[in-house]
Amino acid sequence: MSELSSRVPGTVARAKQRAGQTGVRILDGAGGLGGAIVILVLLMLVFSVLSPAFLSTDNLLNVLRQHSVLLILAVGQTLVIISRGIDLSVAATAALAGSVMGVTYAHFGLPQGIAILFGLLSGFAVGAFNGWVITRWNVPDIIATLGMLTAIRGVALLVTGGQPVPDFTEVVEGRRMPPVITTLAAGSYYGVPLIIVVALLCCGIGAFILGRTKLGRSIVAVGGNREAAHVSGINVDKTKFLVYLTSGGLAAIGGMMLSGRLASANAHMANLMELSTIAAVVIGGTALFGGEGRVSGTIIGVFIMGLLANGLNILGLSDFWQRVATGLIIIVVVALDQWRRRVAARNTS
Amino acid sequence: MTSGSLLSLRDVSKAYPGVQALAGVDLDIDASEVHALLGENGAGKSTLMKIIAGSVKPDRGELLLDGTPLPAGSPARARRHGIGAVYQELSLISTMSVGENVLLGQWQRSRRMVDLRLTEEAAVPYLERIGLDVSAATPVRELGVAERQLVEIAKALSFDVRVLLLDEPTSALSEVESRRLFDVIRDLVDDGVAVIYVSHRLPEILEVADQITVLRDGERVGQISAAEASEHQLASMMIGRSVTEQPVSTDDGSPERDTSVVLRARQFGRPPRLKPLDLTLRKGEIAAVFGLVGAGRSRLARTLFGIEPASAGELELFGRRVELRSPADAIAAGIGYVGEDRSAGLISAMTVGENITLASMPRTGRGPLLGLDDEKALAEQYIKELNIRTPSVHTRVGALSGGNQQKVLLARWLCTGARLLLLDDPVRGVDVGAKEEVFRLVRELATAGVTILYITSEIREARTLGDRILVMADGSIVDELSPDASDDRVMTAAGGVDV
Repeated sequence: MSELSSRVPGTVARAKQRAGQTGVRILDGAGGLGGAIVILVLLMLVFSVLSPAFLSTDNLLNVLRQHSVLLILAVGQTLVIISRGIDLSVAATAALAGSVMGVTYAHFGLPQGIAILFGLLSGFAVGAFNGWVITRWNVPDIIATLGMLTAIRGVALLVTGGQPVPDFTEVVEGRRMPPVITTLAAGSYYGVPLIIVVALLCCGIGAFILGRTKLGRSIVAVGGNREAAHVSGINVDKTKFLVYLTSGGLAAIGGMMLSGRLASANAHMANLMELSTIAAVVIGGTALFGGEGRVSGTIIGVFIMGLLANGLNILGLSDFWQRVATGLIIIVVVALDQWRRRVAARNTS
Repeated sequence: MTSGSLLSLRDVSKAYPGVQALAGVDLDIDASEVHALLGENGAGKSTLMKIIAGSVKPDRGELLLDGTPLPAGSPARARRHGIGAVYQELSLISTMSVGENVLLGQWQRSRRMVDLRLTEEAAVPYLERIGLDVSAATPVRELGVAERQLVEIAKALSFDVRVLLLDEPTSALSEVESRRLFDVIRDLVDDGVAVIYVSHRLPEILEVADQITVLRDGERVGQISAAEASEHQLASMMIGRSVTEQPVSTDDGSPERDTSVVLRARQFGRPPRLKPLDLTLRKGEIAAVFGLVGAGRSRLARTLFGIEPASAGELELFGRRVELRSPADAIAAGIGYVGEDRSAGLISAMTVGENITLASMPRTGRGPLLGLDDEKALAEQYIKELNIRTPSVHTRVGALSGGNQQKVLLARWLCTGARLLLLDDPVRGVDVGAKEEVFRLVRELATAGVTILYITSEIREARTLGDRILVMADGSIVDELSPDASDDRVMTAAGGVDV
């Protein structure tokens, strides 16, 4: 590589390149997570100086608790984006799964295990449908899941009759959400909210799939170079199908956790959360056009979004300003990442 | 060096990492002449053309137009000075009309608004000049390749072109369409335009060109008037010293050498692009497949590997009837494939190790899990065996040089234990030293009993590597020659014409 870079003509270009390399080395650190970590540390520094309450364990746990559902959905989104797809239906799927679970448990009075199973199955069904439409009907990922985003909110409205669950007119006496879910979503153990444990477990599953299984390797390969993956004997369609199936399942878990936390479900919950998942994934250094990324990056991405909202809140900034800041941070982090990639590409080709 | 040349190049050089693409090339082009640039792949034709068109800046040397220096490295400026280029990859916008494409960026306006009808009308004279008989309002997507080529030329004419560069313009054209193109070229030349014609097809160059400049390995071998040149003479100029090169046989002379049939294809093909053909490959042989661009040689490999599954005939591999419907089938049957486009085979964001073991996941893993330790051991073994120069197995493959990337692809198939390798132009764009290494590797593999179908567009490679040379033209195998057949013979067979 040094041999190649020495061929680049012009002293100015070389000096610029050297300056770039130092910056890039920082951003490249921690397996490409450098940029996200730098922003995370900067945010924590600024907020902790401005407000002593910010860095307390309670506050940080609170941030994690509030964003656990986002994290669970974002893990699925990470896998999808690495495979060079995009899943716009995750939030709608979450709402559907929560609603299905709530209706089967509180309205139909089924045992909680069955209700949870139905919730989970509804997520897998959406994922399977996405995968089917994308691989068999050749509908572009973004269009297929955009259609499903709308359709699934509709199905959720049909399931709930447009009412919050439980709807007190037809509820089985004393039932709201399955107790197991309520415990996992709202309970805590030695001060640690269990929902954080659930979210981290989902992250573990995602990271395991990505790093240790043939499916994971195939996901990265398909996202990195579909043609090369195909020529290497990887079943591209099967890989894509399984990615969307996984994303649907994780979205269902997220949706049921959300219902547990709210002790209620409705067809509109997790509104626009699909966009937050994409933002978190991209902030976490996953390439928007596939081929590389990691779940740990997504955890940092979610954490950055959470800390930003929380910190600005503590500082008493209005929700209006929070939106402006969150939006700009997304752009800055991704711009940094693009710059890193550009310099890296220039140094190797 | 005539002083009255329209376009002159003086001492033009260009190096890419690892390759000297052009070394001190001089060239003089006169008005009203067709000047052909002839050379094998990698001889520097395309680089030279891009330098003239302004899309590549030379490291050294200058361009003179009418005797005045032309600043290099700006396509827009070159175009303003009347230099127009038509590349192999056409650059038309298929959803727009012919007229819009011809005057792209020079739209006619009425009342300050772009007026498409006016634009299309304004394009008509250019279409007439090249004799293209379609309405200017026709969408380009409805045109065939030959017509699109003519539209490209009309587009160049709209800039009041004085020097027109054509890069392999007939590669996708039929005989009749080529003739029509030659007529257009003649008309332009009669109007005073200089045409630079890049090709490696000898017969058509002799037909269309006035002057021929031959390039080899980035250097100008010589210039010759087409009237005085013969195909044989041009072929030896193109190939140069290698005419005397002796074929290297992989036959070690031992009589008990196992030469069992590895692959037998009968009436195997994918018509109409790959006509049904018979092919037999034996254990440990290197069968070179030679053919010009568009002869169907890549298609043969892609069909054998199941990328474009065969639609006719039958295939026997290692004595068993097989049907290969996907690359996965082919890999399971013991075939490996390195495509002509290296970037289409590698996953550049993945590591060297991951790329090497990518096709071996079923072998190294257990159930749904990856066998990370096995993978690492295998990757390290092949990095060592093939002498792949990489800092570690964890380096991104995109950071390696072309030759080493090619070795990674070979390693991928050694890793799966492939017994039949389909190599499609594996040293394209690889620098000379690494080329030799790949050649040596191919020979070693053959000696070790791997069967190799080696596809190339360079006679030199076909002769030095192949135990025999299969010549392809127009989607079928037209001839089978021994490696000591003359270049003439090979070229003639590949051209599909009798000389």
